[in-house]
Amino acid sequence: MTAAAAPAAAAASGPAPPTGPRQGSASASGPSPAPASRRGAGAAGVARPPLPVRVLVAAVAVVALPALWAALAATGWLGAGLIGPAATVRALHDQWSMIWWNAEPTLTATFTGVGILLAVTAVGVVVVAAVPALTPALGGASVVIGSLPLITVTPALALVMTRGQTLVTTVTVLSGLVPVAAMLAGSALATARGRDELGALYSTGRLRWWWHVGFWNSVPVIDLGLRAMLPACFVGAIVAEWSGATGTRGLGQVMVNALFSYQPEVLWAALLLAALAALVLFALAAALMTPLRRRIR
Amino acid sequence: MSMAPPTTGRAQTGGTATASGGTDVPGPRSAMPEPAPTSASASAPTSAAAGPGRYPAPAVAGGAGPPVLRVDGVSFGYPGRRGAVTAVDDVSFTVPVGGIGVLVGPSGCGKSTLLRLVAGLLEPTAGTIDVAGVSPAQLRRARRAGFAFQDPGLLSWRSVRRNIELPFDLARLPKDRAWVDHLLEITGLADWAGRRPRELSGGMRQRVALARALATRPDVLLLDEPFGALDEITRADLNFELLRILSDTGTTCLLVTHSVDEAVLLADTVVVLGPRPCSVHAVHEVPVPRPDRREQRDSAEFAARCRAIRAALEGAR
Repeated sequence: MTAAAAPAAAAASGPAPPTGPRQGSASASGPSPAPASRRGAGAAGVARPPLPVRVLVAAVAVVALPALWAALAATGWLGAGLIGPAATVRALHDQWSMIWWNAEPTLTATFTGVGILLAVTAVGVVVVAAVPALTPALGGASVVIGSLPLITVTPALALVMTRGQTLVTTVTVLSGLVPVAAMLAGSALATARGRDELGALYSTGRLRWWWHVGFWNSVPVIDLGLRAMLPACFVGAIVAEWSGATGTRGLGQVMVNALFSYQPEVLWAALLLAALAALVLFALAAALMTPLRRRIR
Repeated sequence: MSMAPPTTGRAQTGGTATASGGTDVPGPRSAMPEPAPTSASASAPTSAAAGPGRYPAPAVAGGAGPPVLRVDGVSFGYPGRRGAVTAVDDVSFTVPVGGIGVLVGPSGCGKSTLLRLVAGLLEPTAGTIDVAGVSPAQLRRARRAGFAFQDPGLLSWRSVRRNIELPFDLARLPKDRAWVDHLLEITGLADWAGRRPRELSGGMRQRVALARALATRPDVLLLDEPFGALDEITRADLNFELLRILSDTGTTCLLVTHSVDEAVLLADTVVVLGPRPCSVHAVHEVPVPRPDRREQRDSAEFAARCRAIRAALEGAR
């Protein structure tokens, strides 16, 4: 559900970010008419649909998934284990205090991990702009960390760390570190774009270039990186709990317990809450990046 | 006015700069017209007003002052796996103060490389380049070169005005708002100063790139096919605008183009380059005062000059 919710959230939050700072698309013979630009003509010369159409498409996309879910549950093809959305919402309502009590540490670990990774990102984009030689190391690090199966990392870490909130947060950070490292490597490349020409012509230092040009060049990369990092953190927290990082509380713990005690409605309710939390994280990413995305459009 | 006979062949490379600073290009130079005042000063701040001491007014309409840009026996090779790949081979030419030199040649012959060598973005492997009495590296460090690249490369998050002001930010120079206002005025962008690049036409974006290159009042303006992507009419308009702007500012210019018509229209000196590695095949002078060029465009002399340069280009293959 979490993964499935992601595209819908992305669609709801706006179009895909540009791949780089974009140039206008007007013809050579005259300026773009202002109304076209207000409508948000893209770099490829394809005008975006009007706002009501976009809202309608996003709404349809958001509604389509629960509708499909309800239809599939109503058929009964997948047995009694597939609970429909109405029953799931009812279960979430009935079991709210228990599920929320368990979700609290999961969300705390997620947001703590996100905070740490945002700080790493903020420092990292400046560091890689100042020392681009770090870029290959970051690329290698993201591959190595990405190759570690999180579900096996957690028990290994439990051997050296006390089980509990700190361990969940550590796994959360580790799972978000892959997109962050890839993002920083991409950001270093985007930052350097054009520096060998304009930057060299005016003998501009790396940090000055980054401040005036490089950072804005890397906004699309940072945007994509954050969109990948935030849900990855949440998945990391839940996976850590599945593999016994806490042993007492946690949304992952609720899912495992519901599975083994055959309480499908509780499992689906926990899943629904996880999806809603993922949507909140997407909204956070959008809130952070939309003003910057608008500026470079 | 009859067309000056072109000088052709590699021998030209030896007949350019002299130690005394004068030019001894045979043939075409002797056909240069007598110095005549430019038409610039009436409509815009003069060079002196714009930048005290930085911009001597062009000596003549076509630029016939002492050489401000001297390329002497320059060679350059890009490093490759099997040794350096020669891109520029023993190139020599000069462009006088306030003059416009135009480089024409086949695709991939190394014109842009030559421009980057003059800008100090690349270091020649042999030969010397002297721009306004200094090396390209010194020129670059002193922020006295302006460069408009093939791709305007405007920053989408900055307004037109802030794009033009970018060199001040990059070079850590105080912003000269009056000069930027003037650039906006002479490039016809004053009403668009607050707009973003995506709201502009291709021609307007090229003009912004041109204004940005002029922002720091460079001694030498380098233009790498600045109007290459534009349609014929817009291109012709911008050519005349460029002539006017260069006359207004008194800036010496070296320009790369594929268009022979554009070369003859703009140039005081057309340098015809041979295929890779880039070498000087011929140098043609265009002794037509700038104010007369619009009228001259449809003349028999203009057509004859274009024919001569096309012939030189074909001969260079």
